[in-house]
Amino acid sequence: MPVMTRWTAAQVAGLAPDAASLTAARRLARPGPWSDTGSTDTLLWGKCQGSGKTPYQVSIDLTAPAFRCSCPSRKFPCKHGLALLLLWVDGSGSVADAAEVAGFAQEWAAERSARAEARAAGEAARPTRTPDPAAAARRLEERLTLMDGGMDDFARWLTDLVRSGTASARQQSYAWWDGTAARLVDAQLPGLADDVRSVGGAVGGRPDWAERLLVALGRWWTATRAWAARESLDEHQMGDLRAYLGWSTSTESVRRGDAVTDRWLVLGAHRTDDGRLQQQRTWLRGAATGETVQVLDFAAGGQVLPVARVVGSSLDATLARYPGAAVRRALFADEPVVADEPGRMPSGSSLESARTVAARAWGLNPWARRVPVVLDDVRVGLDRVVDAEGASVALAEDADVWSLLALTGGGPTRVFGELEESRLRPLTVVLDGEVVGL
Amino acid sequence: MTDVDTWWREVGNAALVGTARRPVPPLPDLGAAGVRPREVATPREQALLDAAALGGAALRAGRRLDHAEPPEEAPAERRPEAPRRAVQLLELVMTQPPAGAQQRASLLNHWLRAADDAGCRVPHALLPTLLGLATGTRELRRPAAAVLGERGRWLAVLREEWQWVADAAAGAEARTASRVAGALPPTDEWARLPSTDRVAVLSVVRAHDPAAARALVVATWQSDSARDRRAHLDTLRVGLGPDDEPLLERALDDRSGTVREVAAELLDALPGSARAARMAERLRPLVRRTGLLGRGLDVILPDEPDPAAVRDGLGKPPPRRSARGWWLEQICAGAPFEVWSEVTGAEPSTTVKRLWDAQQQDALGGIRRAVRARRDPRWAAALLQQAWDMTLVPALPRASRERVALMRVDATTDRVHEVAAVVASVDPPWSADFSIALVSRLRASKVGSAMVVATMPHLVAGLHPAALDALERWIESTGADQTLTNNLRNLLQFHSVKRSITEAFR
Repeated sequence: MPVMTRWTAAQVAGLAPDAASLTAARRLARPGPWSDTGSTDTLLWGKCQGSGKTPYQVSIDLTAPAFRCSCPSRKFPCKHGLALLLLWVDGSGSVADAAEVAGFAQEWAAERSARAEARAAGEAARPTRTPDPAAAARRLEERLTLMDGGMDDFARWLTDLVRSGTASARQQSYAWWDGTAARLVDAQLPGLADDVRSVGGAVGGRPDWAERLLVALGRWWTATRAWAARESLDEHQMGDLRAYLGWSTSTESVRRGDAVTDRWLVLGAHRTDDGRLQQQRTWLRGAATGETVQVLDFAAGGQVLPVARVVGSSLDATLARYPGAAVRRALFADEPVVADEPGRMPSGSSLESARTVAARAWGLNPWARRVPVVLDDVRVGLDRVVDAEGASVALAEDADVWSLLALTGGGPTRVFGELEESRLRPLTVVLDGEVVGL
Repeated sequence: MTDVDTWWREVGNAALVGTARRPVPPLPDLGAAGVRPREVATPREQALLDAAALGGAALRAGRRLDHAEPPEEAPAERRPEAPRRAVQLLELVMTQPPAGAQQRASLLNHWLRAADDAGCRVPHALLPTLLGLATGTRELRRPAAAVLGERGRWLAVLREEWQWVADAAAGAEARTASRVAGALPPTDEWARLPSTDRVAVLSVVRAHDPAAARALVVATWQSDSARDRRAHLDTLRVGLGPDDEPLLERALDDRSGTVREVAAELLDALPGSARAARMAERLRPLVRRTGLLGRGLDVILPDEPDPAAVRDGLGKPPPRRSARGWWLEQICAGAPFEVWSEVTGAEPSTTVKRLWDAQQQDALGGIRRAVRARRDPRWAAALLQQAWDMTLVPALPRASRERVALMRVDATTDRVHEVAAVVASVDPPWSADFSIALVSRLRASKVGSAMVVATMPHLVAGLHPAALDALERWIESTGADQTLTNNLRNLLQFHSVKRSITEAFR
């Protein structure tokens, strides 16, 4: 098994339910209390001597990841699971690769795969169990009526706003924006509501508020027009509009739809946390198709995001794509298998060509906030990157500029990142052929 | 494009004041974009919203790129990156300190120094984290600066909080240079370093070439501030020898009282010096044997000192101290031990016992200082026979130092703070035997938990890896005492990580 597929200690730390568990796990992460440890590509197991007579049996499915431990702790994962991972990550040989899986771990893995199969079978069987297609159609009808009403209301609010002017809208309190957003939520348009809240919250403070608000008004107006003309949109245009409005597409219907099997290079990943919701974007590029898609994971209220994929690794996987015209979202239709050899970052382009590509993407999907780009020979400065032609773009405010500078030293580098309207968020750099995530 | 710009500005103006007060400008000719005005006349509000949508799309897709000069590139590295295993350990110590957060700085310090000794540098990816940590923890700055490499120094220049690197790196470089094959910094270069770095370089030079260090001190003696003169003189403690006497003798005439004090104190350590001879002259008339068999010893207090004696350190006494008692102590601290042997004709232990019996506290105080300054093992042992004094322990050779400390630990069982003080008197690193014996003493103590808490910093600094097995066995038997278990675990973790770091650089 290649060494690179072992995780980093930071990834393990990301799984801990709280700081205390991690501290406790670190204390246990030494060979002393462990016996019968071993690992394969997918499983990791060991016995940990606790205060009792019988050691706890710990099994970890590395792909999910999923944990089982015979200890009574209600923390999940418990300190024993985390400690075993830390010990494994440490790589000093305390957890060796094993050909044969320990009995207790084997049993658990078998139970898990049986359950997964049962669930898959259940899902496959579900459409036939749908109780009443008429009721479903009625629910859809009710939702559309609600959304139509919300959109009409919102269009009126927009025309009222421009009649009296953005200067007077700026005088409004946040409650005024929030009220409009709340009505959009009631009309089942939560994505649009988020956009209104975020623009309304920024209008007071920014020096460039007037143009930003004007552009936002245009975007919202486009949404109302597109909604009104939704009969004329194709499936992909509708998919992008739905994503913007916050009308989610069920994962089952995505799974049934448009699946692509390929070897996917993990181009880069970005995590955000606004205190309420954690989001993880993972960009993947198919070796055969050359298409780049994003996989989104969310976690809220104490949930844990799945472990980030190792940037630069290659995954053999089938990805089901959400309907959409450009910058498409996808989900893993099956559990990806890490390929033995790391992927190679495709060659990129100048900033000018990247902008052309982005403009084309925005032409297809005006709702896309960011477009993935690979840039060649760019040099990172304090607040911007400059390409070989001298063209430059500002760095995103949340870009990790110090890591970028430390890694590149201001030298020409291939960079993967997200191009936004006027900024770039580098996520990955290529150093001596090695793909390094930030 | 100017008419599109004008149009967009006009749209902005209309939006600002509202369409009720201002008309919406007509669409300009967008050529290839193929956007046509609506055929039916639309209300002003909708026309403005249409224009905003169109303008927003154009702005996003059509924005021109700025042009800028590329930033300056970092110079090529001159040192190799630290070995892979060492890098993993550095990452571990920085991001999830084993052995608790308190020990992080000391593990980091160990890593940084080991890397510097191995001639390596920190890998680029870890530079921002290391710079951040060293910015917050001053003691890490100098060792960090030595292993930042070209990239790290280049990076530090770019950020306000990291400006300390330039100074620390200059100091580190000079020290590295002076350590390697005894390369001496040119005097004028050394003279221009910040004060703390001058002292640091001086210490390194002094360690392997005392004469060169002294030459540096002399070179700038005239122009240095009293504070620097004092600090520079202080570095001469290491490797002090008869050759330093002329400088010290000269410093006895210094303008600054603190410089004179340090000079006198250093001369106490040179029993062959002219000052020591002068002190001997002052001591001889004060000592005489008493009793029928001459087995008693009496020391009388000296009279008012003459100017020469004042220059030698017989000045104003410290507060609440009798002046004549103080002068006696100064004389005893400066005179060679031979004076005592001449008068008593006895071994040091006998002489000390007689002084003890005669309750000659001032004379004994002076002798104690002489022992500490000259590291005289025979006189140290003689004094320790009479009473425990941890400041005398360093004068003993290491083996007996550790033996004396263990005996003292046995004598003070369970008196936690005394044991801690005894342990503190044995400077790290400790021998394997002492470490193992000490762990077993602590474990045997009825108050082992409190003992570990009190001696923790010394155990961290001094313990030999050979004692780790004993620690591990102790942990297995600690039972319910969670504090003890935690402390011992941290200690064990600390030492095993430290050992791994050392091994990773081999």
